[in-house]
Amino acid sequence: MALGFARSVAAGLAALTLSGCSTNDRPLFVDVGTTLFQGLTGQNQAVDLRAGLTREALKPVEGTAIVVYIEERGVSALMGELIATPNGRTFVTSDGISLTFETGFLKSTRGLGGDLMGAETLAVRQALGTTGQAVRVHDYLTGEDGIEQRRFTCTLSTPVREPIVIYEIQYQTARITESCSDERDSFTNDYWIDAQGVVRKSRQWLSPSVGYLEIERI
Amino acid sequence: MPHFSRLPGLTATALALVLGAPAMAQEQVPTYTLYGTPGLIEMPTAQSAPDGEIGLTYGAVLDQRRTTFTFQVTPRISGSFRYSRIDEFFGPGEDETYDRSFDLRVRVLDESRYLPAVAVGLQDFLGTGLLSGEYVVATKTFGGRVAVTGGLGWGRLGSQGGFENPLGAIDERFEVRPEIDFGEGGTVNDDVLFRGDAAPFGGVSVKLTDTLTFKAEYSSDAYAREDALGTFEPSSPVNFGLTYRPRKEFELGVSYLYGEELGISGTLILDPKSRETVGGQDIAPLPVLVRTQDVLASESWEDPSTAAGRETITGEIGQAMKGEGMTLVSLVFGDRQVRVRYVNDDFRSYPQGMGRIARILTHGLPPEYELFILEPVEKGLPVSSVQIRRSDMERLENRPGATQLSYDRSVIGPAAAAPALAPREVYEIPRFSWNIAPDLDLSAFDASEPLRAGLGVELSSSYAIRPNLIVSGAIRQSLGGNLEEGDPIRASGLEPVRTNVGFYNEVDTVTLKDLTLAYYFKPGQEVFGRVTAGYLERMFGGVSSELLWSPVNSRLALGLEVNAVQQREFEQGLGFQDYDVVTGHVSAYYDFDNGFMGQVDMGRYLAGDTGATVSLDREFDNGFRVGGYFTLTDATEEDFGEGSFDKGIRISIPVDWFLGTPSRRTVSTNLSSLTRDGGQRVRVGGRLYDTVKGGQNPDLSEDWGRFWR
Repeated sequence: MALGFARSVAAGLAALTLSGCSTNDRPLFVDVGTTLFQGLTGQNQAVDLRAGLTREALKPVEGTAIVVYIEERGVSALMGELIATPNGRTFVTSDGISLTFETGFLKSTRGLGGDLMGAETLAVRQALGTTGQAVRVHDYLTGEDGIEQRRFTCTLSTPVREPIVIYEIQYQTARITESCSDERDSFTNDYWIDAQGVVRKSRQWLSPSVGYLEIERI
Repeated sequence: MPHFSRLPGLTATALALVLGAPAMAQEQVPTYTLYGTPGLIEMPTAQSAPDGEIGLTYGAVLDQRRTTFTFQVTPRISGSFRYSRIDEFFGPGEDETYDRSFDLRVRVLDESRYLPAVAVGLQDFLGTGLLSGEYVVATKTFGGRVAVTGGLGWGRLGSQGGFENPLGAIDERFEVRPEIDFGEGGTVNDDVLFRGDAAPFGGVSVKLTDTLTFKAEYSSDAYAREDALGTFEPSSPVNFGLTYRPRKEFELGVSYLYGEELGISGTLILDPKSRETVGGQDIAPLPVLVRTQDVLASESWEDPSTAAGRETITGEIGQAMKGEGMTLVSLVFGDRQVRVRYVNDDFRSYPQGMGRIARILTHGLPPEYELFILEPVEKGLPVSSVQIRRSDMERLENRPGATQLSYDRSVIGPAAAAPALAPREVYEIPRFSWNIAPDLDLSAFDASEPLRAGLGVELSSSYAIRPNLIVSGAIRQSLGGNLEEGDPIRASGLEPVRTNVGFYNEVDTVTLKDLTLAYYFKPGQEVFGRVTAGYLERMFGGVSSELLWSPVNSRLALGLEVNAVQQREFEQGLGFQDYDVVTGHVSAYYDFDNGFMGQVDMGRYLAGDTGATVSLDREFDNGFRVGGYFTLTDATEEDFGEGSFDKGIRISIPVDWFLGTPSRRTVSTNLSSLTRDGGQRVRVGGRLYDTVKGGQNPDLSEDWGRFWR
């Protein structure tokens, strides 16, 4: 979907009351016009670039990178690693969206709209390889700029051998499925983990509005 | 400073990943009536819209076209403003009339397992009262899909099958509803409320599917006046309707009314609480650099004990801040602490900017710097001071609960009185700005014209001689429109300070909209001051001065304003007319912790009348505001003219709420004020309360959710 209907309406209403614009940067009518235009024409629909991606094309990429696909939006992006700290490894797109992981598990995102502000997945990661239950905690920003904390109870599956191919390179991995739910939502994450414990590929749920991300490590 | 250059996209423009819409809420919400209120077809129910919801309804029914703005002020209270066009008002073939009306509803009882919800409402209780009616109504829902409503109406809602008023048992004066003596209009018709015959009404709504609702009602409105005039003759009191709500943002209704005609309606629904873009498309912040052994071993920083080192560090931090939407003003290096003064250019939420500066500082400062003191500056004046510990940034990033913990561990207080003597670096800030834009001057719901508009083009610019001494001005060329021109359509008995707007509107050459020199100062640690001189607004010039006492952690602020102004020439060049006046107000501002913001101003207004203005706004934490105000002065109702006293409804929407990109701008509109000469103030820019409020508490705590965004 190109643009929320409410945003179009609100932008249209705003276009009627332009007298409030300031002197600092672009006049407001330019922003409103751009948003309306994009909304009406469906422009700026990013595309899924994974089909055209090859190992050859990935050669110039330095350091660790990931290819991320957002299922509900049908878009993908190549993200390079910006920084690794004890708080996670952060990958960014060229237009300023970031994803942060802790040993392959999503820890926070910025710039996607319904962002994950922070997550605690230690219990789940410690339970990997068992079939036990563990709790994961997510913080989300609300429409009123508050924080809503949600606690999901998750069940892990036993690892199943499943080799995968990521852009012409084959990895021997085991697949683990994590099924989580709270009183409102339920989701199922999948992780493909190699013998060194590196998550080579995963499909992880982010938030109700963004849905699932598919992440492949290059 | 290893990571700044690698953070891409600081000039990001593309909406590369577009935002999806959240799912529609599942609970049963009431539909909107042809009156634009929650209810059936013409009759109300006891249900309330979701808290905070705004409904904008256009309803075409028989000879009436009703445009209604309804706001669910609190979970129980809602209010409506309606602008109606009534055709053939004086009889068949006669002219139409335009009428404004206000409603108020209170849900007094919630629905429980066995008992229905009960609400009491006043329809069109101010002014001419053409649609006036009162009701008590009860609604019970069954299984989430069926709602049954029954009620008792008075006035217009007591005209079909009416009987002697049961309230007559209390006082027999209730039995007769007197004619409304509305005078100049705009006052409460308290002598007619719940008086005269009463009549029952009722109905049922059935949710057929998730998007379709069927409604049937027995109306207690006999359209008696229209029937008597011969403009409409109802043949049945029973109405049927169908409402289609395909999305949460709008609904469409069609109905078969009084056995005679079709009615249609459409409602746009806005929920200020749900910002569809939630976190927005703001670029990601630079992550915190944690001082691990590896980092300490591999990174190196300039030496802040030398002037050159400080200059380099300041320059790098300033550049990184610019990239994230803030301007560094100065950096003071203390003992293991720094004080950062900065201008927040982009973020409506100050804490969001603070979180970003704190993260930038973890990269830019040598490891021994532990305490960050952030002081946002407005008009050259630091408005508050927020202390953040570097080790808290390192510990809390990306963790659940980090938002509350980082707020709890920060120290918020007044900004330091004067810059400390410690080594200090000043970053160069931009001084000049300009803007050219179309300018639309709107006047909605005029008593004779639904919408008046004047289009113009405006060139504005400002130059900061010093950060707190600013010259600014704007010129405007009118491009036409249908704004009122020439002689006032309805003059008042007061000095014409606003009703002569038509003479200002008819100028078709370039006009000087304003040209001022403004000086801002801080006479005390928690006191702010302003003096503005020049052409303050298009109708008045002179000197405006203001003092504001606004402690950082106080919900209460007090202000004093004195203005000496003279009326400008209609041509809006440099000249003045004869009329001059000294106006002044004492003001009290209070930010209630339930989301309401109150303000009282007492003093002398432009026409020389004295009195007070009371305003109350609901302010959502995301910056969305809906409110109202009224002004009572010693000007008589006759002298004031139509409306009897000044009042209005206003809405202010933050631009980031609907665009999804960071911005401090808002768009505001005033829905219902009929600008007269009584109760008018000088429209001077840069008043102090709005200048300092966002950088102080309680706003800081309300916006803190975006600290880590």
